[in-house]
Amino acid sequence: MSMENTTSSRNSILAAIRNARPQAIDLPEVPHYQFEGDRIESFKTLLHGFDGRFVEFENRAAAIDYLNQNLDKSLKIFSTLPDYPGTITNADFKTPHDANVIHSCVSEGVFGVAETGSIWVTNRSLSLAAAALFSTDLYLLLDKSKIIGNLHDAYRIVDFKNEQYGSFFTGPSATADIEAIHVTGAQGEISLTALLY
Amino acid sequence: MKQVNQVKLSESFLKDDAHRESHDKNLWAARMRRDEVARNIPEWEEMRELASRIKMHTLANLDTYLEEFEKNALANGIHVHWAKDAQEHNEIIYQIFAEHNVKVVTKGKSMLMDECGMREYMGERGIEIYEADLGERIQQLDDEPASHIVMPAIHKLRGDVSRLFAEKLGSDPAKDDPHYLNSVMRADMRKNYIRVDAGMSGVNFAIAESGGILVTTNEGNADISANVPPLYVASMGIEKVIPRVSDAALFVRLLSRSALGFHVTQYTSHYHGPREGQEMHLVIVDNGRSERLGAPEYWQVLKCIHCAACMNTCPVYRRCGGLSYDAIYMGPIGIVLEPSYDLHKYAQLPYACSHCGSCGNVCPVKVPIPEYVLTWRKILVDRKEDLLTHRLQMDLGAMVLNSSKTLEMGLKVALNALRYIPKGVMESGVNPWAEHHTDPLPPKETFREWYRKQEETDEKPNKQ
Repeated sequence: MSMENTTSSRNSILAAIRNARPQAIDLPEVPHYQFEGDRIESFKTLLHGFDGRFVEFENRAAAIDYLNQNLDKSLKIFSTLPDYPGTITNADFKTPHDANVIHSCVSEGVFGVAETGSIWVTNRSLSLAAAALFSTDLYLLLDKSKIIGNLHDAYRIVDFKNEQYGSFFTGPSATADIEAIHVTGAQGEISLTALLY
Repeated sequence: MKQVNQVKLSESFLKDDAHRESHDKNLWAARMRRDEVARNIPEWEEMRELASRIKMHTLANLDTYLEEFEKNALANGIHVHWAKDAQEHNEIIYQIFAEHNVKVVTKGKSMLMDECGMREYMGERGIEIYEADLGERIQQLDDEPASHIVMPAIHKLRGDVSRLFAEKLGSDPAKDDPHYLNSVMRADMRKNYIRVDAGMSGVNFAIAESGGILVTTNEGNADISANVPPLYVASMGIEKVIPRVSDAALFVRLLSRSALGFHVTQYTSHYHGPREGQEMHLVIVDNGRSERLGAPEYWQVLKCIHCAACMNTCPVYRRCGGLSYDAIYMGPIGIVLEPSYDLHKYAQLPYACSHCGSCGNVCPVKVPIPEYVLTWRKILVDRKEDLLTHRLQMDLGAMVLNSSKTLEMGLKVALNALRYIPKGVMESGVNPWAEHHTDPLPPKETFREWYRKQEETDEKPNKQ
């Protein structure tokens, strides 16, 4: 398949579409629906619903303290936090495949969504998305003041100009493909813990 | 091409109580969860209407939205390809793989790639494609197509998966706990992820305004496939585009709630270009879609966002199982979509419907599926693709119903016949209705006879 062929396919597909266009209607405006209720409580309930965990702290320093006390430094820990060093860094990986050695991944949540219990992460916030996905335990720090209402709010603040990868992580990876029974720890991280401060 | 006989293909599933009951129960549970989460959103019905209108608007301006999407995707560093049909789709991807010396591929779910027979095409050319979604992988190992577009192996019981994994992946055949089976899959897939050369996925939505794609999974399999290897290839049908970033909120809110009754998928992920050192390719595929767009009778099938809510609610689908449709798209959306791929082959599918209308009520983008079932039957009759037996019945019906005399005589004959034909004959296979029903005993007299008697004996207050 040469480039010329796909250009000619492009033009013939677009021409076929132009010939087939149904009666046009206006693009409707979507109202900015508002989230009603307590954002933090909703976030926590939904996160639990998706088998995620959370621990609450007085302040960020307390959350860092929790990491220092609870994570095993003899294991491979990948961290993007300036105030919590990990035991392995990007420099240790030739390719993202090598991130499979990571046990715990610690990173910053950009913002949370009350409606769904999701945490927005990006390739910049995670530094290496494979690190989060390959980890056994994923910890995401989240400033409670950054929990917004619903997805309508979320899509107003996401920055696709500067983020190649951006995802709403909602609990750890899961599947219900066998008899629709919900099982966590499918392909990605086995546990997800939000450290709320 | 041989015609798909859905009735015949559903026989074994219908007779298998354990499989059928579990299937029915699990899908209905998804439908009930869907109702519950939808009820909690006051704007739900308004959102369905908006989503439908956004899709209609986009489809009516699809050329300009695709051009806008392409321009922005190119600016994001995504390689964009266009494929007229399945053959071109597979050739384009094969060429990309050949140039990059790709041997091992992990792949997220894509109905489009199934439609194109992509996996078989690559397999014949020495490229191993590992399905990375658990359900899809189960079906790949069992050499069966998906039976549901969101839960591909939902027609199977845990024992089936246990036996399959024991045979193919060396697990313990005595263990059938889904948690155990999932861990077997997880460990097995890691072997592939650590040596993967290229990742693949389908596309849920392509955002014209930002030039990126939205891909949802619960397992994170598409995310690993996209984020680990140096090459990521995604395929999308031309109908996947939505105009604005803000529209994504509406569709994401509708999608997972409609599909499984959950607020959102575990990974709702957006790709707006390759990461550093990576190449990202996107193939935009027509494969009959532009023709569908030009068919006023059924163009709105292109609004479908592949949530499977119509399947979960369909009484026929839930009892027959997805494999009985012998098609890429099954259930209600399948029976109004597949005939546009091959009218003769799928001519019997529009009859796999009880006309309950439930699919139309749950569709998050209001595809008029119940109306389209009738549309297709009309097309089939017009093109003489309906079954000969149906046509003879219709002709006979028209003859009898054309005059009240023949109708009355016909009824009398039929009622008497039903009373006196022995039960053994009625249930001998001559009468397909008796396969799953017992015919009730017919009344002694027709309604007209009864009415006439009333007229003779009544005081007839109305005629005073």
